[in-house]
Amino acid sequence: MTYVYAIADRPDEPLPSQSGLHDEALAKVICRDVVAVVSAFDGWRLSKAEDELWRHEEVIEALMSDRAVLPMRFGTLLPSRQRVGDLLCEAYGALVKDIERVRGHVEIGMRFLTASEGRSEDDPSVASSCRLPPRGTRPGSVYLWAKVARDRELQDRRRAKLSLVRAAYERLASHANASRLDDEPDDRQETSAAFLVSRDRIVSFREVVDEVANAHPELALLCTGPWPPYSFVNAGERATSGSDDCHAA
Amino acid sequence: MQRDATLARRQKVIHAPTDQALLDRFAGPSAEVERQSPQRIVADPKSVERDLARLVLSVVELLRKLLERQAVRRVENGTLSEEEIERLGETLLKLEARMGELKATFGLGDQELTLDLGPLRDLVSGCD
Amino acid sequence: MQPRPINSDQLALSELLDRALNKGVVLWGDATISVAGVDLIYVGLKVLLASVDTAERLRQDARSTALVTPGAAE
Repeated sequence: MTYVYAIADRPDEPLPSQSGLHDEALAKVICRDVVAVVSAFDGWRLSKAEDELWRHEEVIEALMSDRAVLPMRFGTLLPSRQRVGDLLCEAYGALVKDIERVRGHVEIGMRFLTASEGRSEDDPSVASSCRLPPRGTRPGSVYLWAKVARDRELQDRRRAKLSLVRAAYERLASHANASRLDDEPDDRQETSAAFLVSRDRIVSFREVVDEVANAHPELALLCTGPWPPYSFVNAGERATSGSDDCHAA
Repeated sequence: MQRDATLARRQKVIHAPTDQALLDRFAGPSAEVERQSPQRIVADPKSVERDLARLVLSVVELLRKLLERQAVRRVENGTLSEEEIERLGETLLKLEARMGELKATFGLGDQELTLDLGPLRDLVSGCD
Repeated sequence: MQPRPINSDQLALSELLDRALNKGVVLWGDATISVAGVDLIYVGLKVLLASVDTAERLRQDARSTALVTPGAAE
């Protein structure tokens, strides 16, 4: 089997010297102007999942030093290099577009905590505050409609939380080439956002983060990065229905 | 070399709250799990069976929740007939009941079956 | 007050988890799961399993790390 780390441009450039998962050598699968960076996988397991995740990340970051890179989801395994090549060619147009979009950019992540965070999914008060009357008379319908009502209640709460975060998010988004706000944080407590920031604006973006943090003492902010643009690649995926606030700068 | 790698990882944090309590809330799934389910190392056959059950049931529970979430979405979108809603609801109801029985059999609570995979929603969204 | 450098690592790992397990390019086929005759979910099952496996091992790592951390509450 073949493990895939990323899809990048400049297929003729030499690969970084670092090795991949389980110290396997990195290799290329090329389709025209894109290259998938891969390594052999034969059912091994490393002792620590944390190490595996970081190794995956480190390969991608090494590639980013001189290429535009689309990071793969962790654990992308395909039966053969042949199959990788086929899929590259199938998705070629979309991949090229994504590569263009992320070239010269990194991802910066934000998480926002508001004062009144709680695990709303397990919150018993959610069930009792559902204002919708039960629907249907048969057990299946009653059950499902109750779930719908609960879902709506949770969505209302999410919306309320989001409005608190909006101003801070918008300010940050104005300094990025693209941004997305995760408005369906299910089990997580925080609302999160991702920003596609051009490399030469990273320093000024960090300054804006500090300003925003000072201007919004009611929020707790966690900012991390730079990351490969995980949140800004779409090739091969089904379109998501989550809110995708993409602004062009 | 190990130390250098670790240092590089730490440098990902650009801005964080200074308050330790807030930091803890951001710390993520592994910290959360550790606080909620303190574990002892016990090497006996019963616990191996239970651990396996926990892993399997966690996956099943995850799928069940995904299915439910998607069903709710379809109901909200109005793309299902009354008959389909009833059938779907009845099946999900039975699924939930069955899961309850299995959890009771193995003495597993909801917290132990929670796999914090964060936004798995992008696996279920856009399917309509 | 004990210094807690581990938090930066945990934060970075948590962020990486979020990205590498749930985002990034997906390049494989899907499976349909249908319930009661209603097609419901297209799921990248391999992704799901890889994610589940990794998340589970991370939990075990966190558990065993905490147990050997000096001063951890028993």
